Amino acid sequence: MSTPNAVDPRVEAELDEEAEALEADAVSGLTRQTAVAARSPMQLVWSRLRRDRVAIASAVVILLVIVGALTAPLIAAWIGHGPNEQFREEGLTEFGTPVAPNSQFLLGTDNLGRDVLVRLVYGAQISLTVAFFATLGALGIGTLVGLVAGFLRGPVDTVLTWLMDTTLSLPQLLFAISLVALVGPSLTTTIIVIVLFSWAPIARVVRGQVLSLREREFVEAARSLGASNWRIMRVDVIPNLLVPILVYGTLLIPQAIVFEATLSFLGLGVLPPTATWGNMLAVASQGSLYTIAPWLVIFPSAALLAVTLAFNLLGDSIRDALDPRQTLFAGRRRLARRRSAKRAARKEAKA
Amino acid sequence: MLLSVEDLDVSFDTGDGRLHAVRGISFDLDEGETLGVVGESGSGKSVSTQAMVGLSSGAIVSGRALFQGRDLLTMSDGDLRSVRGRGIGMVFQDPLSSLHPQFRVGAQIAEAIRVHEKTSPKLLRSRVIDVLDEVGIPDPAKRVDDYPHQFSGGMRQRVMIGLALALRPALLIADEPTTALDVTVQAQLLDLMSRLQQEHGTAILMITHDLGVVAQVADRVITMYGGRIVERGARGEVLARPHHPYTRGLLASVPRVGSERTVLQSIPGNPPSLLIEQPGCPFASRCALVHDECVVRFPDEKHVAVGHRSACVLPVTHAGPVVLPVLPPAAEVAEIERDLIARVEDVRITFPGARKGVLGLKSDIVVAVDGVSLDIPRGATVGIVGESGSGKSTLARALTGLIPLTSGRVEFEGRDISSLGRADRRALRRDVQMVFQDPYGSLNQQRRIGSIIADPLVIHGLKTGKALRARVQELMELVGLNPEHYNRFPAEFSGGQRQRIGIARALALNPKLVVCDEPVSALDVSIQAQILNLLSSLQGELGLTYVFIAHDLAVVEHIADTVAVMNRGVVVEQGSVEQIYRAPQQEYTRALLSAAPHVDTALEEAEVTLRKVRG
Repeated sequence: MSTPNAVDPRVEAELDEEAEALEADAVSGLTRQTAVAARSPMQLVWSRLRRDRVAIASAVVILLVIVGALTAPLIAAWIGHGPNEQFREEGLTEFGTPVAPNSQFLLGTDNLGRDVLVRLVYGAQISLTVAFFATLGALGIGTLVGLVAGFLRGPVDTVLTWLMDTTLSLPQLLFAISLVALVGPSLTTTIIVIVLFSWAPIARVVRGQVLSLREREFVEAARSLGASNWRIMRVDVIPNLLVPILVYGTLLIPQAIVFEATLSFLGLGVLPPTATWGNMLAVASQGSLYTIAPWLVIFPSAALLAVTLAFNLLGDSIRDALDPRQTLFAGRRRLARRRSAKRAARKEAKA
Repeated sequence: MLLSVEDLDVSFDTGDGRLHAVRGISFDLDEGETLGVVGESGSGKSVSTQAMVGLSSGAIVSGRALFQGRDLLTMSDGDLRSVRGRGIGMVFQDPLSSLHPQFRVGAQIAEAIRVHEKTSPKLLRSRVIDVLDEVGIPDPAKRVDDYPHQFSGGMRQRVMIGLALALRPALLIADEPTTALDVTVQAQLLDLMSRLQQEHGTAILMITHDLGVVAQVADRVITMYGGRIVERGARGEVLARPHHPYTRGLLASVPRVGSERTVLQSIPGNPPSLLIEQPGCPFASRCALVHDECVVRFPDEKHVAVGHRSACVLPVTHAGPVVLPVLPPAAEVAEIERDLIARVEDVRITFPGARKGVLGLKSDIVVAVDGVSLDIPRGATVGIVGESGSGKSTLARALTGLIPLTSGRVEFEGRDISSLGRADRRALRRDVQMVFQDPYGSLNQQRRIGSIIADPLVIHGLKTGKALRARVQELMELVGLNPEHYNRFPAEFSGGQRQRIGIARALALNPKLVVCDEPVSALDVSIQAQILNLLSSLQGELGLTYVFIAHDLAVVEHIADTVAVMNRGVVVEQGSVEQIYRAPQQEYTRALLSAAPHVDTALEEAEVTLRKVRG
C-alpha cells in the first residue's frame, strides 16, 4: 500500500493547522495525500457543528437557561427575593396591581407582588426537569418498542403497531385532562402524561429504521458469523439508530416543554404556588391582567419561545451535521450563491 | 465539429473542503462519431458531462463547451433546457429509477416530445408508438399504455434510449447505459445503439468503466484518471498499443474471457483524493515508472501515433501491446482424487410471493432455486455464473445455512446441515464463512474495523483482550491492510480496502469453506484485480475452498476450477473451466459467452475491418 491513509471524500481536509502544514511542504504530491488526518464520525459531526453559527447560538441559549435553572437559589439569594415571597408593599402599586420592571424588580412583579425574574428561573427548573425526564422516558420506551417490533416482525409487530396507532389516535389534551383529574396533578403525573403521548411517534420512526436496517448486508454478515438476535440488535442495530434517536430527542424536548406549559396553564400540571412558565402565563390571563401588566405575558412566553426555538434549531443543526447529504438549507444557500456567481460571470462575458 | 470542450474544470464545495472533480480537460467530438470515455469511479468522467449540460447542481464550472458552435456553459437556463432533449439526448445508468413509476411509458415519451414541439395528440401518440417500435419493444401499440414496472430492466433501458433519441438529437450522452444490465441484454442494447446511430447519424459519448464495451462500440477512446485526461486516440491505438501506465494497468487488470489463464497485474494503491490539490500527475502515487517531474507538474500530452496522444513523460516507445504472463494449466489429475468438502443435492428453495385473495392469506410461490445439485471438492474453487434472478445468491445463502431449504439436502463434510442441532450449527458457522458483495453495506459504519474483524472471535468466545487484538492485527496483515489502522472507521477506507476488511472478517475463524457472493462486482477493475489476486494467494496459503459467485464470466473463468452456469433457478451446465469456456454444450452458455464483450476480439475485428478499408 503506497497510500495507507486513503481518503474518503467525507474525511475533512480543512483544519487551519493542517492547511498550513500543507502549504509548508507544497513540493511533493505524494506527501500531500498523507497529510489528511482520518477522523472518527463523531469528530466529523463535532467539527461540522462547530462551524454552524445557528447551532452555536442555540446551544448558548440553552446553556444559559440551564445555568439559570441550576443557579436559581443563588439568583434568588443575590436578589433577596424568594420565588413565592409576596412583596405587598414594594411589589404592588397602591391599587394592588403589579409593578412594572424597575431597579428592584428587574422583570416586574405579578398579581401577588412576587418577583417575575426569580419565578422565571425557578420555572425553568420545572420546565427542564419535566422535559428531560419525559424525553428520556419517551425515547426509552419508543426505542425499545420500535426495535422489538421492527426486528422481530410478525405477530409481535402487529400488536405493537396496533398499540402505537391507538396511542396516536387518542385526543391528547382531552385524555390528559381526564387522566390528571383521575390521578391528581403533580410533577410526576405531568411527566407520565407526556411520556404516554410521546413514545409512539418515536417507536414508529425507530421501527421503520429497524425494518430497513435488518435487511442490510452487515446484519446478514453478523448472522452468518453466528451472532444471536440480541447481539445483532445491541451491536449492529442500536448504534445505527443513534442518529434518528438523537435528532428526534432534541425535537421532543421543546414539545415536552410546551406540553408541560399547556398543562400548567390549565391548572393540571405542577400546582401553584410552585412557579412554572405555564402557570405564570395563567396568572397573566386571569382577569385580563396582561392588559395592564404586559410583562407578565412577555417574559414567560419569551422564555418559552427562546427555549423551544433553540432546541428545534439545534435539533435541525444536529441532523444536518449527522447527515450532511440531507442538508436542505445549506444546500439551498449554496445554490443561490452559485447562481448569482453564474449570473455575474455571464454579465462579464457579455461585457 | 459537433462538440468541442476546452479546458473544462469542475469542482464542488463540500462541507469538507473543495472537491476538484475535473481538472481542465479538453476534447472534441465529430458528428456521427462514438467517443468512449473510460475511467474508474472518481475519475470525473460522469461529472464532466453532467456539468457540461448543466445537470450537476452545485458545481463550480469553468472553461468552454461548444455544442454546434454555442457555449453550453454560458447559456441561459432556458436555452440549455431547449438544447437538452432536442440537441443532446441522455441515457443514464439505472433504468429502474430513470423512468417515473406513476406515469405510463408512452406519456413520458410524449412529454419529452411535447416540451420541444407542438403536435396534435393523435400525431403525438403515433410518434410515441414509432419510437417504441424503433427501439424494439414488441407490440408497441399496446405497450405504450403500460407502466414502467411492467417492463424488464432491459426493456426500460430501451425505452430510455427511445426517449433520448425521440427528437433525433445530434449527440447522445450514454452514462454507463448497460452497467446495471445482464450481459445478454447489454449486447442487445449495444447493437441497438449502434444501429440507431447508423440510421440517424447521432454522435455518441459513451461513458463506461468497462473496457470491453468501449472496445466494442467506440471509434475513439479517452482514458480519464483523477479528473484529467491521461490518454486519447483511436480505439485500436489506445487499446492495442496503450502508452500511459494507467491505461496499460487498466488493460492488464481485466480478466479476459476465453484467453489463457493469466496473472492479473493489479495497480497497487488507491485512487487519489480529489479534495487535495495535486499539481502533478494524479497517477504518480500508483505508477511503477514514476519520474521526479511527474510529482511536480502534470505532463503535457505527447504525440504517440496519428491522433494518439498521452499525458506521460515516458518515451513514445513505451507504447505497445499489453502482454500478461500466462499461468501453467492446473494439474487436472488431482481433481478427481480430491474428496468433497460439501455437496448440494437436489436443492429447491421457494419464497412466498405476492399475496392473493381477499384477505391476503393465500400467496404465490416464487421458486428461486429449483433442484440444483453441486459437488464442492476440497481446496478447489467452484464458480457459479448466472444473470440476475438466476438464483445464484439464494443458493449461496442456502450453502451457509442462512436460509432454510424447501427440499433437498446440503451436506458439509458428510453431514446434512439442516438437521444440525444448535451447537453443531454454531460450529458450522465457523467452518463456512461468507464474503459479501457490497463493501459499503456489509460493514457496520458505526463500528471501528478492529471490532468488526474481531466480531466472529467475540461471538464464538474464542479470544479476549490482548490475544484478540493480536489476532485482528494478524488478520489485517494477512489481507494487506495496515494493522495500525484497526482503530479506524469503515468510512475512512476505499471500496477495495473495505472488501479486504470483509475478507479478514470471514477468515477470522479459520473457515474451511468461503462463499464469495459477487465479491468484486462493486469494485473498479484495478481494485478488482487486487482482490482476485488476494483471494488466490489466500487459497494457496490457507488451503481454502471457495464457492465463487459472479455474473462476470471472465472473472469466474479467471479464478474457478469448475463452473456451474445457472439460469432461472436451475444449473444449465456444469464442468471444468476448460469444458465450459472452450466447448460449451448448452445453447444458453454459448449465448452468455458470445454476449460478453471482449477487449481482444473487438480489437481483432477492428483491425480486420481496418485492413479491408486500407486495401
